[in-house]
Amino acid sequence: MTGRAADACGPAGGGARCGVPICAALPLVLRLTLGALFIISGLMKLNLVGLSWIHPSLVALEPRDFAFSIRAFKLGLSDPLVQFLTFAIPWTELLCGLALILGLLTRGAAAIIALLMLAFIAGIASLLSRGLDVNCPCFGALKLFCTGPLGACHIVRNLGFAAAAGVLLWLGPGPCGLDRLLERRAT
Amino acid sequence: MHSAFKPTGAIGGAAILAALSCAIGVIDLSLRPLTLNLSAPSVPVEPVPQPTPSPARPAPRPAAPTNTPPVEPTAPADQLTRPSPAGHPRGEGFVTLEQARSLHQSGTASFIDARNPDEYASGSIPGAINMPPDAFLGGKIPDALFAISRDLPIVVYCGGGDCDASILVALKIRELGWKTAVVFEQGITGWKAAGLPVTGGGAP
Repeated sequence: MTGRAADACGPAGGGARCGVPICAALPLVLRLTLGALFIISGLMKLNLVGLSWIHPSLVALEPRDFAFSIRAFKLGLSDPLVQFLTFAIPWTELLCGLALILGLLTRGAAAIIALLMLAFIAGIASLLSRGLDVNCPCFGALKLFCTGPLGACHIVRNLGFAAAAGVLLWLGPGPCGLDRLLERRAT
Repeated sequence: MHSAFKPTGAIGGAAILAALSCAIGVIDLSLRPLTLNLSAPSVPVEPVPQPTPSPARPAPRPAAPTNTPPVEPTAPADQLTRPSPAGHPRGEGFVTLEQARSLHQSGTASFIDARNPDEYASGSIPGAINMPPDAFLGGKIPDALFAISRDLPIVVYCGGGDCDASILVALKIRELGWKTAVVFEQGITGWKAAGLPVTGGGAP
């Protein structure tokens, strides 16, 4: 069963799997929303381009600021590993965000985002259990849904992101995704 | 017949994206190397006189709690003018409690509190200016920094052993030209534990 949104871009992938018409459009909505959020999140940590022209709160962190945020978790990570994660995490967010927007490698991107969010949740829970206060470096100066140091609000927010990624993992790219082209070539 | 590696599947796609992200991350790191540790200040900080009674550690004031752990100096007083002892976990560029106290009493050093404004408001070293890392977001230079001499010692501190904000702020202000910045690693926790005065906050 395919919905109207799916018909606009040809046959949907797994978007109709749940059997309800809205499911055909849901993957596209989730992909665009999550994709945009993770592109912003990655860019805010990499300080590659200024986005404050979009909104004054979109002020990027320097990579070193993010490195110190990772260190503040006090997980005993060595400096080379912190330096690697400082760039690997935001690039992962950026590429996964782009992949979701394009509908390319959608399930892989969704799986990585879900795992990343679960890792962040575990990290925040560990912080809370040790009574440490760490500012959220998540979106640079932008405080999305949550203000103050990392805490329960951020756990709930990340659970929401993980759940959305989980839905994409289940439903697939839906309409208007480049994955369909890959699948056609494969068959 | 399905192939073993399917890019549009969860595992295949994740493997491609993870490999690509790590590769680009490594390239980016090589292009923009990160300095995470403080070196000795390039401009030597004024020598700090040793306290005259020369007790091994400051005597706690009567009001201080009796179960407060003693504050051990982390390096000799002349650490700033020569390399720190081997095995120092944080490298060079740090001052001990004794040095911080001497610099504060001499009135020749500026103190910067790198904690969040609410923590600063709850009690800070008298005369300390609040300058958390967020004050530098977007390449901004806090106005308060321009009131600080570039020639005199600048002591940056935060909460104590568990916080790195002081190192981050010291690195930032050194890059901006205030090269005499050093870090008081024991921070406000060590300062309070030694029974030294604290104010409720407020820039001088």
